[in-house]
Amino acid sequence: MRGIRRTILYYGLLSKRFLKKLSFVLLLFAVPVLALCLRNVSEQNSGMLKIALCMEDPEDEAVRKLAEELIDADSVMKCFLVEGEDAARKMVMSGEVDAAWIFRSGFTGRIKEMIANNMKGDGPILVVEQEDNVVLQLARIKLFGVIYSTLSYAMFQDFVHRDLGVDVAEGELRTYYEAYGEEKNLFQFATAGANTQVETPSNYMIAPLRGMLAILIVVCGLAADMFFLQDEASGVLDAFSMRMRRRSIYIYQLAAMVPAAVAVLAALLLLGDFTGTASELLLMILYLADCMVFCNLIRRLCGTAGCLGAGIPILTLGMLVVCPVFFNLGQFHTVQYLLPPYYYLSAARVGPGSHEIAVMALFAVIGAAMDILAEKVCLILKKS
Amino acid sequence: MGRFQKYFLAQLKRVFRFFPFIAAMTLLLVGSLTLLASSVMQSYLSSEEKQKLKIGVVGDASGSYLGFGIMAIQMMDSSRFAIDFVELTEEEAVKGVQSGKMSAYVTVPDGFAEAFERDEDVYVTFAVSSRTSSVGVILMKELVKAASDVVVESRNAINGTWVLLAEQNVQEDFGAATDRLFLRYVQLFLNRAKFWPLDLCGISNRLTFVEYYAIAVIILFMLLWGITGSGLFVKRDASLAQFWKSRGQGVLGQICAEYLAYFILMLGSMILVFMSAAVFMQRAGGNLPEGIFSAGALFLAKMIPAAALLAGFQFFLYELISDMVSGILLQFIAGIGLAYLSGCLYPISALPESIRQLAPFLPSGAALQYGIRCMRNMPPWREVIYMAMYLLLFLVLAAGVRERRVRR
Repeated sequence: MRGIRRTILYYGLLSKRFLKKLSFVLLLFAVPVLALCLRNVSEQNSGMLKIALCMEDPEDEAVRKLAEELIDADSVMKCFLVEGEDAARKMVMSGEVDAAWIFRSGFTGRIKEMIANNMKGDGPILVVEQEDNVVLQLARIKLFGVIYSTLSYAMFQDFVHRDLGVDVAEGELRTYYEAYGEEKNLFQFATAGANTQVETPSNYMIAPLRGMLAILIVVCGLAADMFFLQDEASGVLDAFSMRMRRRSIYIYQLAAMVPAAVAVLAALLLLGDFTGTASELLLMILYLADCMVFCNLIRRLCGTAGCLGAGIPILTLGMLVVCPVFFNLGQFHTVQYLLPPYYYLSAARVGPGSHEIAVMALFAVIGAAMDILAEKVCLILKKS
Repeated sequence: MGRFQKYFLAQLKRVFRFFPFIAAMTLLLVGSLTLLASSVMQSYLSSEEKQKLKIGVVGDASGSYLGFGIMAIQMMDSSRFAIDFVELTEEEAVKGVQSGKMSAYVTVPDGFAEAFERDEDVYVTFAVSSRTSSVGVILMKELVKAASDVVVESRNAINGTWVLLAEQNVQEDFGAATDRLFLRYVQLFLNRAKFWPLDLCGISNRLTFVEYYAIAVIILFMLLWGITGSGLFVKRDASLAQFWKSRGQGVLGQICAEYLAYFILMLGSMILVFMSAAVFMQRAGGNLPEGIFSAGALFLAKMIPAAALLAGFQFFLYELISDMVSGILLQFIAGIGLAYLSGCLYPISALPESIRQLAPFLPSGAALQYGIRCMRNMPPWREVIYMAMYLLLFLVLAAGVRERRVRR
């Protein structure tokens, strides 16, 4: 009981020591503020790919509708209209846009002709690019999805008239085609094994921020470790017993990481990526436990503040690349399993189910056990 | 020897006492990362099958148009070289996705084909791993939406044909007619690329994806590297600066000498990272393009002005802070924030207009633009002037902050 009271008192004193620093408070306050700014900015017009749309015949109603659909789509691909093929080509050449999609005059007629001639003929869209790559190929799948309704109707028309030999008026034919024309998404997104809908921020600008904020907490923990090592070197901890000293490292980490976690949760709330108070809190508590043991093991591995300081940038860069912050490099499983942000980000996607809680708790337990073992080994080595 | 030289040498000595730590950590982390990356690449490239995107299909899709469509894609479409559909049970699919052997799986519910043809509310579940990044899910959602549009529109046409045949009293086997139409849709899908002929005009003054990200990663590394100096440059009080000032070494001289030492340490680290990565990559083998290391070394040399600017920026940040945790936190937030806003994480063209306008005026943005111009072999004078002005500003500000602390 006395030990717990002393631990709480020590935690309070250390927290006071951190929070007394105006710079620390201001920096943590800046995290949600920056998140809010980024959220506002992300609502502006932007796209991972920029596509210039050009209509050879601006009067063509079908083409205008398609262009409007591409422009208005909530997509990572941003399309906008450009007047004239030359202007579109210049934009591609200068690198202002990634590609130009030029809708040829007589668009619908060309489609009909191609369908009637077994897909032979002049394509209705000319794609101009500097070089073709996977991303642009994927963008064309999106284009295919948009123009498919025109292609499909032309195919239906051709089939009814030429194959079946039925003469039906245009309006009536359209009615047959659209009898089942309700637009819907056939696919539901879920997480493997969890049968839950995948919740992700709809904007790619915001999407990686949870990962970056998670890394911020690890960095905070490592910084607390350096602070601890500095204090240890300057004799601040000399009065403590070895047991208290071992406990105090966790208190140092908590004193720095808890305010950071509060700032991160506030930032997630402002970003609109907050899945629910209970689930976010539970995840954060588990994540803090994982970060504590992880940072402590890294501290043991490095040994000195200098070594730890030198390791933080590369460790941060490694976490940005290996953990699923931007993309998931599935080949790095072995390394991913060693990093707490990986567990946090995976659990945040599906919500803290029993499996995720168990995995995160197991990480903390194994880490703590390894820490105790490492300390025992160190003591034996020192004695010998 | 002048006072400045003495002070500079003392700083250099102080800073380089720290270098073995940096060297040890750099060798350990860069070495393990490079070896791991090359072993992954080796095993990945050694098997052609592994390069394919594996998608599991759970449930009975056979006998329906959907099943035939999947078969057609697998047998005849150009995407068969990139995507592999595998039929399996849900349990196997979950295990496959969770272990990373499979990218995703689709679950076709029982009676889906009939219910879908009757336009009932039925859905195919597209399941991804919980590890898939949010950006990855956003991209997949867009592609799957396109696939959904294709399936739904084709279904509309086939159902429309069925109704038309019935209402127009056409003497035709309904099933045979709709099968014929379906096959024409498959043909349309397989020949989709013919609808958009490609006109490739070749790369002119633009960087390739790899070139752009090579520069972005160098800048990102330099930005995050600032954390390394926390043990050296976070000062709890100004007593040492006051002492040196009393000995005749002015604040501006102190700042310049410390900055130079810090900058040299940064250069040393960069060279070490590059050399260790090169050595480990060579040891790991693989088909590396000829002359890549000499070209890399030359480019790294060209990036020295950018390193000078970013070192100045980080040095200034350290002057603002008097405790370790805030120092590291500030370096991290400033580093990652600037990297994000200047196009080191997402390409600059993918950022919103207001950020794109701001980016070149940020220190990291100027450094990135400088790198891009160097890579394109274009004269980077404008960027050099920007960077020099920024560096001067940071050093003057740092001197101002220290002067204030010394006087207090």
